[in-house]
Amino acid sequence: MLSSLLLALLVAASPGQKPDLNSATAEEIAALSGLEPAAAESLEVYIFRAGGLEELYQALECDAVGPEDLRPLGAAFRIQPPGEGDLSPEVTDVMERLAAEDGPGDAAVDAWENLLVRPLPVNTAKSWDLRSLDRVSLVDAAAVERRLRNIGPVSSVRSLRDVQYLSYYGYRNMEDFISTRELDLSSMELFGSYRMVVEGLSGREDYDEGLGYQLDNLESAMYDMETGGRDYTGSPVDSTDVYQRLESSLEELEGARDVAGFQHRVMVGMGDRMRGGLRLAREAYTPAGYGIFHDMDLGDVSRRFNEGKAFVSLHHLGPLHQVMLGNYRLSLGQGLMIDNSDELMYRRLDRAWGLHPDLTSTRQFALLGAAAEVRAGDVTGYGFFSSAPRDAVVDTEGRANILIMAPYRNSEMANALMETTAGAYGFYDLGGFLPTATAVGAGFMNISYSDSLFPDYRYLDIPGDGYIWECPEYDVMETGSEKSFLALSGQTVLANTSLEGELVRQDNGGLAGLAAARWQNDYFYLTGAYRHYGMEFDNPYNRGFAEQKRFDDTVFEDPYYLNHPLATQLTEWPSPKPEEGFYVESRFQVSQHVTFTKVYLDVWRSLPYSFGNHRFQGEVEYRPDFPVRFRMKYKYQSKTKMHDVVPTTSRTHETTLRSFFLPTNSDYFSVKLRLGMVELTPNPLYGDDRLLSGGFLSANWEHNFTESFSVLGGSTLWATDGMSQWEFEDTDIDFLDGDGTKLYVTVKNTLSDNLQLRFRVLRKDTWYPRTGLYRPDPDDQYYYQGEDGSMVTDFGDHVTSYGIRCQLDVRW
Amino acid sequence: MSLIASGLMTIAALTGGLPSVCSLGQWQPATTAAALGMGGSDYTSVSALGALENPAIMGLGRLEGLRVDGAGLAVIGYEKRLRKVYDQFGSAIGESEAAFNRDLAVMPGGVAGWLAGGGLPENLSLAAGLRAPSSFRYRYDRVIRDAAYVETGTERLEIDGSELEVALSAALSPSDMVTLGLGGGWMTGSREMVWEQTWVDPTQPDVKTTTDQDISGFAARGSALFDLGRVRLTAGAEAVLSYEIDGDSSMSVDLPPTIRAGAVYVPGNRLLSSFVAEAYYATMSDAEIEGQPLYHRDAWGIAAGVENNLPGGPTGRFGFRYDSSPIDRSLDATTFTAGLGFEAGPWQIDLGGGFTPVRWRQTDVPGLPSFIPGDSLQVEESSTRVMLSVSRTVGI
Repeated sequence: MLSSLLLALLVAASPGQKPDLNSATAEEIAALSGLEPAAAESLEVYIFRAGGLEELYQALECDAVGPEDLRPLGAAFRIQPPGEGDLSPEVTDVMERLAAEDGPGDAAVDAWENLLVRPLPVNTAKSWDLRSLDRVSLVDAAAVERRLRNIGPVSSVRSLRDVQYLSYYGYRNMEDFISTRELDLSSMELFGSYRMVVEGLSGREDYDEGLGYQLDNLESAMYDMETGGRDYTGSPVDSTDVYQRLESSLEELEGARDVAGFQHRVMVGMGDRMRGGLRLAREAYTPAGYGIFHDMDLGDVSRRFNEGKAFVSLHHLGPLHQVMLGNYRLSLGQGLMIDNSDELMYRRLDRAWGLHPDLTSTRQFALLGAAAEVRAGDVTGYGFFSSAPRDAVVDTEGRANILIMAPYRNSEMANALMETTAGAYGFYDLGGFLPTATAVGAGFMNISYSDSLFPDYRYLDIPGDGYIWECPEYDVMETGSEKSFLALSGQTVLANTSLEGELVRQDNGGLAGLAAARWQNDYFYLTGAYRHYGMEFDNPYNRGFAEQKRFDDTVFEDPYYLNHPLATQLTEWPSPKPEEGFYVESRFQVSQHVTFTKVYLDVWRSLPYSFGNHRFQGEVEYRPDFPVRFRMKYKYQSKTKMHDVVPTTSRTHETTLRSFFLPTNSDYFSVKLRLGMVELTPNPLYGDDRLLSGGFLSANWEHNFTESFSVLGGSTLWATDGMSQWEFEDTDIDFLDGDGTKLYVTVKNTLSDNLQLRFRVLRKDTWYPRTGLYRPDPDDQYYYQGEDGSMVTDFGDHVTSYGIRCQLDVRW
Repeated sequence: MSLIASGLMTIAALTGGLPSVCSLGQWQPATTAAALGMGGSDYTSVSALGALENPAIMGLGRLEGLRVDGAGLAVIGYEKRLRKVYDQFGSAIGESEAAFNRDLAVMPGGVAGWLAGGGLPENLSLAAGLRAPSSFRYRYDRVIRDAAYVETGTERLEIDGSELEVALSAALSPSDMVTLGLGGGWMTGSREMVWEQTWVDPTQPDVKTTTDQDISGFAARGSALFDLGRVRLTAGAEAVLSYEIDGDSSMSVDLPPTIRAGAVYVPGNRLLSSFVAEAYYATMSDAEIEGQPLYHRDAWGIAAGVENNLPGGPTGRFGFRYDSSPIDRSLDATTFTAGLGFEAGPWQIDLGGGFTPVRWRQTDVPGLPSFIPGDSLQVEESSTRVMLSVSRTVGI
């Protein structure tokens, strides 16, 4: 009682400054407002858990406080609302938007995440910097640079809205990543983030050519050899050695059966001067690490994780714009000479241009060493050096046959040789006397391996299996341990039209070239591009615009052609196929209600057999009112590939109907229906099934309980008859096979400005009817493993899978 | 005894019949539905039942009076056994179902009281109660057929029983920041197994085997809690002092201690959120039965969960946990959980659910026979737990 009186006296002694309710103790609340002690304690607990009251009325959310208590509380206390945080919780939202169906890919997204936390100072930015942002065209970037050069700095990002030739689309896409802040080179402010991702899976791990698929292929190959299905007479390959390799690969991959996925990523920064980062990860169902950092014995860490990346970078050291040690990502020109991501640029011309730290999952294309960017006057130059291990298919003589990007690698493939890459690329900015963003560039790169590569199909092909080896893309590859590349590039922007291109020559005479042009305004753009990638051009870092991966539609697609079925993973090699083609793309907003969101036509020729192909896609959106949108997309593709007997042509038709609704401010609902059909050339070897079909219906609904808590649920039903479907689900692509249903729930919870949580669970049921299995011949019948005499007739295979993914982001 | 049944009984002997501190691969929610909804975060459950597992957690209660908790749960189990089918080239074309079992069991969770104030010294809290940290229930039955699909008999395996613990805990808070706690309990329980084969052919003798076992033992616990404001950390250890199995023969089991730690973070937001995370580790490779090693592996697990008070609505919870099995990695399990909390006058009513799917191969688990050499029988099983708990605090 006495203490209460003293408190009241103290407050009365300073009438000009009432105490802050958000920092008051229960005793103070009770003494000054007259609340019962128990109610005061409840209010104190509520204020603590709520992080402070924004306004007095919020106190009513505490059960112990009634309307009659507001007046005495208001009379006794003031409310000092809790401060805004320094870091934006919207980072996660923007990252999710980037991970969209036609998104820019993980490597680019990773590069942009830093800019969300610490935006690019736009007043000192060049078009080089701006063009690397998501969906910001060279015309947009040049428009901003021209504005800054001619009129001077802007005081707010919004001032850029009316810049001549800057499209509204480009402005909207750059505004999250730029600010008008000044570079503060004396700042020692520390900031950073930590991300942990846990991925647990339960179910059959054979989706999408996953672990189960690889294990089954290995078992099948061993069975083939055990039952005399292969004859290595006259082959340089030792069959015993092949069998032992299959056996040891099976044993190693078996160890990945019950592996949960983990990722830890730490990124730190100090002012505008320094950045650093570390990532340790292992994807679910992937084999052991075989040493994550080359030549470093990290004991159990090397076995627990199979991806390790780290970097340190310094910035703004005079003309040295940035220097990076460790893992870095470099993407220059049109990506024909150097772009070390592991993603093929499917019909994409924009890229995360420049030098960036690399904490992505890329292992085979990781550059590890040092890189620097120099800006001196009108010259921007990049120099890089890397020495990193590379995986390769190793033949029975112990020689590296061909490089491979293999998620399911064994100890024989892993780090089979060392690659040393060094090069430089310089750009001279002619914008001082020619139109802004006009530049020419030249680059050189040399790649050398610790051992020579010996591409020889006899070590990959099963001899005497009745199939002819057909893979010109492989056959042109040369024996050797070194290759070099010379690049020339240029670009210019004339008003709202950009022209750019790159030409790269390999020392074996192989050529690659790409030229692109774009015309745009707020409502329309038209992009055209021509590319040519010669047969002999086999630069592992070529990520130019493409339709097909280098080994698509080759023998590497079928494990039964290959001595070692793990070599099928060569089909994932992300360099473009030797091809030549012309591409046109447009977007046209006809009116406020009707937009052709993306229409393109690609006509290309696959060079190995000179087959002509084409692909068209058009999507139109009708928006009768703001909260309602309908979209219809149609895709047609005609593609020819070489087959055993005759070339086969597939004609694909696919129609997608999609609609989005915003029934309330807190809800988002979408539904999608897709139907597809593939017409094939009849092939006598594989029966007469000419028509494949498939489709799905999916719906998802997101409800935002508050700004910081939302739940997203979705479901999909699908039915296929030979034509697998793929669906963009949440932030990833999912493949749908057989017939099935799927249900998933994602919870997004921003617990504080510093802590964000994303949690997702999924159940997927797939049915594969297995009918027509009856075989009267005992040597031809279907059987249970280990029980050769058992006869299995029709059965239904029901696969149930569960997935869980929990992502925790801490920022400071 | 059929190979399936003998395999099932073997694994039951390995995983069941041991106290919760040992059966880390057979996680069982033993506190409240609120904790189950948040990933089964029992160690950071601020409740009377939670205090029986972590005495020091009573330092977070701000309790003046008596809090009583009661909980019960239902477990729905599904089990599917599959065999791979191969074509004439030795390529797997799919998996054919060989058996399908399901079961629903209702079990006690526990009842406990937590007392603070009311004549006790100001910094002392006490808790006492009865809890059921693990239970043993399994059902398997099938029709036995010959190659021509003619029924020749039936087979049934039933395992029942539960383990109960009468536990006491005490916590002392020497300062606002630190709480120390001690506790212990007497464990008792039983397990019965029945395996039966009945044949259509009267000349073939039917088989019925019954096994009864009693379980008894003592456990002791010690823990500490550090209240750092928005972050609260707790850590402790649990040791089984004795563990005896009596039945047809008596066995003494030596179990290593389990180290546990947890954290509660109250970020301060309009949703009055709290985030919990906890972990445990037990050197199960040291476990012995009658002086002979059990050949287990060290076991560990993590759990995390979030609670949000939805404006104008109930309390929503979600979480997950990962438990490594002491027997084999293939039995490691991930559990998804969610829950809701309601207030009805002085009563707090919580509903929680957890779903645990596991898929393993018969040949992966040591000690289990295989049907046929080279066969890889796959087992897909799931366990759905639904828990209801009520609590009420009364002044004294």
